[in-house]
Amino acid sequence: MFFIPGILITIATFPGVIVHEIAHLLFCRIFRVAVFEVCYFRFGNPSGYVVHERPRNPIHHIMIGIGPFILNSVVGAVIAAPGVIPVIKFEAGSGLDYFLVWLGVSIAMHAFPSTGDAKSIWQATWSGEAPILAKLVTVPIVALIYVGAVGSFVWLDLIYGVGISMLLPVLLVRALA
Amino acid sequence: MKQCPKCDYPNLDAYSSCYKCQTPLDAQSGAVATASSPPAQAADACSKCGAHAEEGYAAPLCAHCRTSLSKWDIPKWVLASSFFVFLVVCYAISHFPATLNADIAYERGGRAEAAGDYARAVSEYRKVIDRFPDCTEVIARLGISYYHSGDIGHAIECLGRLDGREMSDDLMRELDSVVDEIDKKMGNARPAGGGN
Repeated sequence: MFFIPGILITIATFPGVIVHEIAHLLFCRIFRVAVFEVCYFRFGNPSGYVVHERPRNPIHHIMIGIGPFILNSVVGAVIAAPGVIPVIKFEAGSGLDYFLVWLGVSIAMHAFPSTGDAKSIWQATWSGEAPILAKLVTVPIVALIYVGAVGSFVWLDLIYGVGISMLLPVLLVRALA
Repeated sequence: MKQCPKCDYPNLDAYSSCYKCQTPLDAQSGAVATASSPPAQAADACSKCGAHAEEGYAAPLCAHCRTSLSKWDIPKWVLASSFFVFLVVCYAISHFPATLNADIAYERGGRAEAAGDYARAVSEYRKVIDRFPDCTEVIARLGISYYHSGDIGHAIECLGRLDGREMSDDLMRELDSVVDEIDKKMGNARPAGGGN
């Protein structure tokens, strides 16, 4: 296992950061939560952020937090799908195929919510008067986010990105072959 | 915005403690909140327009301002980039059925080969070759299937295209075995042919 500074990975996969922040924005719009500041990408930590008000409903807060997991996974899978088969299966990809795979994997590997998102979700549910169900739902979600954060040291985010990118073609082939 | 002295999180002016880490914000700025301190604005007034603020939210905003702030504009460069990616993906997806069919044919070819139906395997692998004519793995599988189906001529033609190519050890061993068998057959056939 080799170490590459996080900032280099972030720069190489910057489209994923942008889609990650758009996902937060999208769910803020869906749940009518005021947004005060957005940074789509910057050279720093965090590499992007959305400052929004604390939602009234803790479930909305959870959904805003895990929004990137949904949007980045779906968008990454769709974008990478046409390029994955030539590049990975038949080693015969064109420049366009490689571009799509890079873009799809970059987007999908930023699907994991950040630890900042996890803290925000945790505080919104456990420090407020959230229903017990919301509090219970938060525990595995936050645990998974931290597992993802720790797992990124062993390239879990990249493995997830590649896995998600291959998912659609693999499922289609299994269903149709 | 009030920046948190502990975590630098940018907080709304209306917040008295950090949204992220709960650190008191007023103490840092020197403004000590006392019971007699007059509020800067009515508690139920929108901090943006002064209208009646919606109840139940930490940020004092009216319904109109909240809706308007939730519809944050996405910058034009992001929209333009997304549109470009959308066009590229549409173009790629227009070619996707042919690629997908090739992959399906490859799967079917593998199954037919495993089941000993080499004629079917050849037919499926030929479909893959039409889409990916230079893929080492497919050429090798087609050559092997040709050999097992009894078409030695085409098998030799396929295997000849693999000279100097890199491949997995397993595939290399399988090919070596097929080449040896072809050599034996050709060797056996040659003296008979050459003797005449």
